[in-house]
Amino acid sequence: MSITTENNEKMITLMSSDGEEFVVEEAVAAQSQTIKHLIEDGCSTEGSIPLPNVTGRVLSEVIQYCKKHSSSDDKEEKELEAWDAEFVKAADDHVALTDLMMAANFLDIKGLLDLVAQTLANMITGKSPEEVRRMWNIKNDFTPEEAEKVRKENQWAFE
Amino acid sequence: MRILMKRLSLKDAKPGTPPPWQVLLLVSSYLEPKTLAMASCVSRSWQSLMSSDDVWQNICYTLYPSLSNLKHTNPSVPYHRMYAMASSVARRRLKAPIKPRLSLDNLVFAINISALCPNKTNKSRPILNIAKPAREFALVHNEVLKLDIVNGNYEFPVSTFEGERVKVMWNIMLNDWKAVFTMMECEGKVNFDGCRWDGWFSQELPLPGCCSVADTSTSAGLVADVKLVLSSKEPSRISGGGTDIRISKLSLGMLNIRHWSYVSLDYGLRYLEHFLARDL
Repeated sequence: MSITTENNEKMITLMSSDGEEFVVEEAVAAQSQTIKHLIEDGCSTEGSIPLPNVTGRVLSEVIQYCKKHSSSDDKEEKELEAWDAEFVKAADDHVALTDLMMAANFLDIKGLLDLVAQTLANMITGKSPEEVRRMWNIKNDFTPEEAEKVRKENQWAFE
Repeated sequence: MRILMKRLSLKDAKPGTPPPWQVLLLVSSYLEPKTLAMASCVSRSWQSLMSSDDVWQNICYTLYPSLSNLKHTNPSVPYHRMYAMASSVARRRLKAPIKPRLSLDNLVFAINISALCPNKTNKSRPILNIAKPAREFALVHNEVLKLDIVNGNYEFPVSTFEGERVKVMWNIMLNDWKAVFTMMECEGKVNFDGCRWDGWFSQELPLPGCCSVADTSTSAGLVADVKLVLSSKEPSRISGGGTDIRISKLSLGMLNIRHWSYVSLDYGLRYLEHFLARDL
């Protein structure tokens, strides 16, 4: 189903895994390479585009990101960076970064994937293995021998 | 579908929930080598991911392109280990050389300069004969091993300096007199330019320690370097048969003949350490 707005913008309907529908401008939806290809293949002509891997909650966050990034041009790069920083901060509180990341990966939105992956990478960087385990409740399942071996192998990083 | 979309939140549950493998896989390509190595120590699954060739291959090829051939010679060596090898060597290169254990304070410089008699009787008359702690000479220029013994301080009248050949001996001793190293023992000419005599002497230094095999083609690339300027106390009498002279300039140095520059003080001390201070 495609609707056209007053300013002649083609609209696309996206449906989340939990049945929520989102009507967005095609230019916004096309930030996702996956959706762009679906549109090109003519999948959007009948009804809405189903996104079985993305919940409504995550999808609304993703759409927020895509809206911002399709309306900003390069001149506003600084402002956009600040917006991105706020965006991941909020996502960190509300929608899990990992959910966002899986969605960005599935929808193939390079900018969003970079943003979230870098945020997660920054959370790991500078932390000791023990700190990482504590942060994400990961079990240290190495045997003492294995632990010693892996530590030896990566000793250079601890120096 | 809902069950499959189980939420994996980082902050909802405390302490957090381990991120799914898929997410870690994506994040791994955003991690620095050092963080990857650190993260490999978290758990078994993290190790298999963070140490995988998929992650490290690009890093290796980007930072150490020459390693790509090594992988072909032994495919069983993982990329992360090749990186560790290469980076540890790179870091060692960047590391400043260790400070020498020897310092100028440990050393005594002994200088003997004598005039050889022109009539070839092999007799010589001393011009200068001193042994002093290196520190007392020390006018170290910009941390290079070049010591200037400036004019006037050492005045040795020589009644019959009429020749043009001198003998220069320079020894360096530990101040506890346990070891001595000869920097120079050579004869050479001084040139008279009408009011003073100039001489420049140099002698190649041996390779230190284990490298000093009887292979003459290898050299340390270092020379001991002595500059000497003698001037007359009474210029009017220069034309006579002999004259009183004094040393108006004497400088001692260690020169790298590959770069034609004086070696740094630390370099010079490290060199001397091989000969003087094995058990220091």
